[in-house]
Amino acid sequence: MDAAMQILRCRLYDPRASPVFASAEENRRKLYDLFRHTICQACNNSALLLGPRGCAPNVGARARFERNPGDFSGSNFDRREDLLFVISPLKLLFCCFRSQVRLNGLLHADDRSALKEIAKQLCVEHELEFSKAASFEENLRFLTVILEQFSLSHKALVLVLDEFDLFAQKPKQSLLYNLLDLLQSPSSQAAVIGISCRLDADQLLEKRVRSRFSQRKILFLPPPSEEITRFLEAVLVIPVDSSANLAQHANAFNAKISAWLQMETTKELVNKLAALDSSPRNIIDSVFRNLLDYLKNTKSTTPKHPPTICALADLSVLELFLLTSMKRLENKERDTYTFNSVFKEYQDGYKSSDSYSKKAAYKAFEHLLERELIGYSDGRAVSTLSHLRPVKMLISFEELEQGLEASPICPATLRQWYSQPGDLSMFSLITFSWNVSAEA
Amino acid sequence: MDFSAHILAAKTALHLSAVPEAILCRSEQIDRIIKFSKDCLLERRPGSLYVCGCPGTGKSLAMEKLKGLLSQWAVEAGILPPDVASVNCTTLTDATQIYSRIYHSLQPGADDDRSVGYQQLKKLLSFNRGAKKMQLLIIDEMDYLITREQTVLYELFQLSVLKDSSCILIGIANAIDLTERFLPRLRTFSCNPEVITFPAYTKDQIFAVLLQRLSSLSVATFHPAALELCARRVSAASGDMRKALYACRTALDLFEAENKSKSTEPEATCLQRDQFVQVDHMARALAKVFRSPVIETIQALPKHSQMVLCSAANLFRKRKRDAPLGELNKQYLGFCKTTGMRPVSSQEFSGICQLIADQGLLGLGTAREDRLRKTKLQVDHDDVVFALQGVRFFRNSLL
Repeated sequence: MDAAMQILRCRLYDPRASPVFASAEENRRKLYDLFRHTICQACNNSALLLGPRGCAPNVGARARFERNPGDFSGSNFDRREDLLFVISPLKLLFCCFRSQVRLNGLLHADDRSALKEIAKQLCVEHELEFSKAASFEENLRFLTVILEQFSLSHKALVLVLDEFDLFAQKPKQSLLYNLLDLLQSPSSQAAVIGISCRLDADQLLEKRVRSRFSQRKILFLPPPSEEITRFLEAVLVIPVDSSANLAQHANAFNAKISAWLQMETTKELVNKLAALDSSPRNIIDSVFRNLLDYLKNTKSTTPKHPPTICALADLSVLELFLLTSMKRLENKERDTYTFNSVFKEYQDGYKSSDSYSKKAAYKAFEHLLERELIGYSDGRAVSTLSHLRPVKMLISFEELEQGLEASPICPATLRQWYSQPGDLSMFSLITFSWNVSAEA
Repeated sequence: MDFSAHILAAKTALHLSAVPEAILCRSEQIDRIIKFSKDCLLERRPGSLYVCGCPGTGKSLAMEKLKGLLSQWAVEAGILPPDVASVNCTTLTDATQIYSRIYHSLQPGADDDRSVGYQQLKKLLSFNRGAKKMQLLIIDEMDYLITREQTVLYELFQLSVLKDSSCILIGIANAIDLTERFLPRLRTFSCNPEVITFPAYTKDQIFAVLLQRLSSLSVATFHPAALELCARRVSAASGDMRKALYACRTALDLFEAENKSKSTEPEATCLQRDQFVQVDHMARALAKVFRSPVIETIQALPKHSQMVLCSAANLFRKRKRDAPLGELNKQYLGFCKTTGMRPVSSQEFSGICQLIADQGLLGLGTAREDRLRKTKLQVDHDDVVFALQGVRFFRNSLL
């Protein structure tokens, strides 16, 4: 049982161990060939891994460096598992023949600290003494010397640059120039891998740096929607070792997972998520909650509301009126709206027996601000003309709609008013501006 | 010979660091530089030279060759071979460090910690104060030494003009008019550095160099038409030899991958006489090298991002300037209305725009209010149309 939990946890949370889908297999193979070429055949290489955030580029690079898959007993894995484990014997071989350095464009703000970091990582790995006072030139000389030593002992250096586009946006790009220049000499054996989410990362390079870069770009794309279900299956199904005692528990669990994946609600949820952002990380995070609910009570899935909906369900009627008026104003493509315009919309649009005064409405408005369901959009901390400050909604339309459904006191007429189409009429615009000048 | 071993040999031959013995197509420039250096050495007078050209045109390569040729000739002619100091200015953090660098390359035993100034370097390089041999200074990427006052560059060139100086200065940079534009006062102290331009490689030159690199292989690997396509394309684009070599390597990768998947016993096949890297491999490799993978990325975007990109393409077709985010939102809402899709709220819309901007497809500025941020389409309108026209949903909406 513990082992199964460990496996699932690692797959879901540890980016190094999460499996990759078939369309990225080819990219991993290309990367693997590149590394093999550098390490075994002593050729210098450089490459750029591009892809949207949450897709494989980071995973692809990190999986290459997994030193020892010692946490898991290697015999249990079947063909669906990571390329990582299939080639693990070779990887152990690689361990002796390569040395790695990782840099991040966000952390190492300028070339000097980046080079210092390279020197530090190399020193730590080879148990040399690192001097903090070493200058840029000394660190560079150290790097050159180490590379020469490596090539004599048939070892390769792999440099991974995360957020490569940030390195390229430095004014002088001297770090990139020097690193890529080192790849040109026959006495060094190194690979420089850049990871970036910008497609035009290599256009940001200066022309002499770009000339030295090998133009090899490996593109990591999010999976097409058909593959997402297969991917989820691969993540969640525990591999079953028929000889183990808990085999039937594992089988039962896997059956539950398959049933969950076949459910209509799950498919709908996955499609909705994929329409917004189909990176694997996002999908896993978002369906996880749904999955847990399903697993806890298989009989009836009581949908638990996210906190925003609970907050909306608790609001008073006047507050709901105000929120609906804001939504209608947004539908009318009003760029900015203030409390006054919201109140006006409510008064004009919603005809009902009870009418609230402006003071009461303003109190309700302040309450909404406190609950952070709406917010001021001009960014100033305090302002005197609070009725005239532009506001914006901090919840989405769908959340508002769900909140109206869930609220026990929401009148049916309000729900109708919500779904009535708004129209962009010049008349209301004119009256709006008239009101503003009247109030000011 | 084994297939994979052969491919490996081809890749090694095409690698940047595998410099051939004889350098083709640069003989005229190398001859001029050698003649200049020889004259200076024979007459024991200082001089300066400025070498310029686009990246990848063989300047550093020529310098390496020059060092070897010059010392060989000096020994033959019976004069003292010059000391060579070669500095790449990108490794300097400050322009004035160049003096220390040159000093320490010429005097390897000197005290490393001391920083050396211009005066001390001048002393080292002057015959009257004890210099025995001529010194050859090669300054690579000289434009990194450009500062506001240009003191360092002027002083360096002055070193080559002083009567008793013993140095021959060769500066390398990309700009053709560096000496005229940044150093107009050179003429006042009668310094006229000779300018030698390394032009971009022509189609025939690239073809010749590629053939020379591949001549060391026992079996012909590339179809001549493929090499010619590569030469034509690269010379039309930039004339950068490195790009040509990279393109050939990429074509080799594609050829290898294709053959691996085709044959059942990949280890056993040898390279047949008629198995070449064909024109279509080269064409695909060139497409990879010269284009960024915009089309595939757009096709792989999630649905809503594609809709936003489509609205942006339509919006920016009509206007050339930046548009605020609010206008893009309006366009997007109109698009949703015509196609009957439910639009996302404004918060989610900004999130989607940020996602696309992170990938470099859209440019997004900063502003006080979210709706006022400036947006600009960073990819070609035609690329968006081409990428999305296969999707039925977008076909009617793209202009």
